[in-house]
Amino acid sequence: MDSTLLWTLPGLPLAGALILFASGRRASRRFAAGVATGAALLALGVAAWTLAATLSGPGARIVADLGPWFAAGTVGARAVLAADPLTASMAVMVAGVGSLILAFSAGYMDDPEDRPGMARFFAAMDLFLASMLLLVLADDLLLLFVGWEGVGVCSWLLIGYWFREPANAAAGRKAFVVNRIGDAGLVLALALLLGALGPRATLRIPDLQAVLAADPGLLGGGAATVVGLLLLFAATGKSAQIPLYTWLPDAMAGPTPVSALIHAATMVTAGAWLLLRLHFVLALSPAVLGAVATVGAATALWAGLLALFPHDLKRVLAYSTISQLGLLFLGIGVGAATAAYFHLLTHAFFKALLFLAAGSVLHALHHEQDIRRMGGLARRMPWTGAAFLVGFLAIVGFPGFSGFFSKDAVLFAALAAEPTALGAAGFPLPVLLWAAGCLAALLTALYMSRLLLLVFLGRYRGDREPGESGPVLVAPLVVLAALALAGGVLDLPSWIGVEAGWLSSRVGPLLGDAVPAHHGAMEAAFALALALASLAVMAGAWRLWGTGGRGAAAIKALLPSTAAFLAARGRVDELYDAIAVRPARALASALAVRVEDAGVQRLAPGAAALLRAAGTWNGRVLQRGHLPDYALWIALGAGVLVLLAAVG
Amino acid sequence: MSSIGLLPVLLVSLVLFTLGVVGVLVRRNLLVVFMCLELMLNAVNLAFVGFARARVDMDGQVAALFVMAVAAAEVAVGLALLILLFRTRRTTHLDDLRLLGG
Repeated sequence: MDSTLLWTLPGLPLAGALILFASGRRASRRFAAGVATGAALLALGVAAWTLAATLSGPGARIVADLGPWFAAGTVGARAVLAADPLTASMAVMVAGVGSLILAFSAGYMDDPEDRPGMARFFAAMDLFLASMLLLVLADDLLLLFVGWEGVGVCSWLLIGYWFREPANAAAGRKAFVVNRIGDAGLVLALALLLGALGPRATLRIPDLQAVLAADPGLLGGGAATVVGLLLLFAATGKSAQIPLYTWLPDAMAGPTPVSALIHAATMVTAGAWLLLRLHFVLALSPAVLGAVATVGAATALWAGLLALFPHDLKRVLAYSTISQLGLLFLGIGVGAATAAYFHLLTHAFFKALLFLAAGSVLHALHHEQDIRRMGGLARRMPWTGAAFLVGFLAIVGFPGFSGFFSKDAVLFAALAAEPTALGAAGFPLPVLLWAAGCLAALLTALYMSRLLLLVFLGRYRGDREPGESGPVLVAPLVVLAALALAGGVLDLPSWIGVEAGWLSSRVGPLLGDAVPAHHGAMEAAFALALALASLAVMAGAWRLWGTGGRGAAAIKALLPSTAAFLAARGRVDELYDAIAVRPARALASALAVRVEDAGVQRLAPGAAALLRAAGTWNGRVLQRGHLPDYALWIALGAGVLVLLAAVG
Repeated sequence: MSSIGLLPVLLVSLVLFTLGVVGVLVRRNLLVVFMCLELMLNAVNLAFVGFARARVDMDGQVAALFVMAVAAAEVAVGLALLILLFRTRRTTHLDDLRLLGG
């Protein structure tokens, strides 16, 4: 295939976005959704074609180079996209899940009062897809950064889509600002990388890998650790990990398809994606790998605990996303990048499914988000209920479902990780991280069971009469349910009898992973033990929240202060408020009073009056419109010139 | 003919140029100002021709011809503007023409 065709991947959704932004408030929902979904489907076609082309032979790589677009000194940034099995499969996932969610949005965003916003909504969704595909396919780190910032902007646009509600606009701002804090880490990491490499500086990812492979000493003396930690910091922003995860639960203020696309399936994986693409930089420093794994395990556990308490359906799913992304980071940190990528893909399927099923529920309940006023919806919405059940079984790792294989791959890799490399750098032993990951997996079963029991089973506690959603909403659910069910075939484990899974053999080498050793029976035993433990947790959840269960009250009675602490989201927002937001506000108000009011406001009028006086003199005295005056000035000027010539 | 040197020519040119400058600066009738402008151009032409003869060089003569061509065009445009101005404003007195005054 012609390699420049690769540019149509971000180009098609970008064109859709431009058409929609130009069409403005007149665009109907039908037109806007049609353009946006059409562009996404075309991109999906190109992505699938590209993936097939990259799989045609080992090492097949399609590079589309449009030449330099930015140069500073010896470093030039090229507008270059590259597709290999890793980036192409990710592009297929982004375009595929994006198309499904856009199709769902066509039915979801049907509030007639919302009509003027339709073009804005679908244009931003398409712009997001374009940025995400750019981020995924970019072969140059500066181009990747363009996509990185693009998805951040679209996230802001879409979280605050219903901006007339101040809380929504505030949530969008918070997401943007917290992300920007992480972005600073990426900028610093790139700058340090360029500085450390000196004359061999490059931002092309393959070139960077070659340079560092030839001479790892270039990033010696702790530079590799600093760069790696900065990259990790950048990733914690986009992928909502400790310490920068607080924006994601608030981001649920956006429309539910936005939460599904951006805040579950795609954008939040950008941080993990950055670490996957730059795995060879992380590998230079055991301390960085240890930090990535520790952050991941801690986040998985902490977010799993927080997910037990919210009454907002989407907020529970948001914490669940943070927790699953933590498992991703754990996988990357213990050197199982392929397993992490596997979990990234399956998580995209089942979390998009769960969010869209939640969207179907919210649509039927007229945006009632409180699970205390739900219940018994499985009977009233059988298709949505079945889809949610498939997503539930996938995320808790029920044997045979996609999450079973991917979560097991990550956790088993943590168990099998080389303990010395991490322990030497002063990080907790992998077995501790593994235990935290397993606990997070069991917490997943607990909080997801709570959702399932409170939303879909039991007695309906609301006062509206909800019915099943229409086919436009249900059809994407069915497709995603099939993917969540069967996603495991992407990388079947060896104990099932395959030689090596598809991802492990085709993508693994690109991520620096060796094709995994056969652990056979041991891995099978671990996977089944984890599944059994999850089942036991589900049974416990049934007792807590099932018919007649006392649920939250029982937990509160057991550990009153801990439960209150977790229900208050660990008071992390308050902590950040105290150490960052309030000092900044105090500084700003001090500047406003002391500098602005006392200084600038007094000086500025004087300066303005001076300027006005100068203007008046110029206008009244010089520009009188009297021709002989002008002639006199010209003559005087000419005289001065003649004098100067005579003197010089 | 050849007895006249460069200096007398330049002196005449200087006198004519000075008359032109003073006329442009002090006269208030636009037509007279215009004529004084032409006087300055011709003073310069005279200097050009004088230099050309003294240096036995054709460049000055070429420059003089060039100035004449430009001056002819300038007169054509300038007089047309002047007539239009008089038709609309009924005056060519510069003290009355100060629409652009600040």
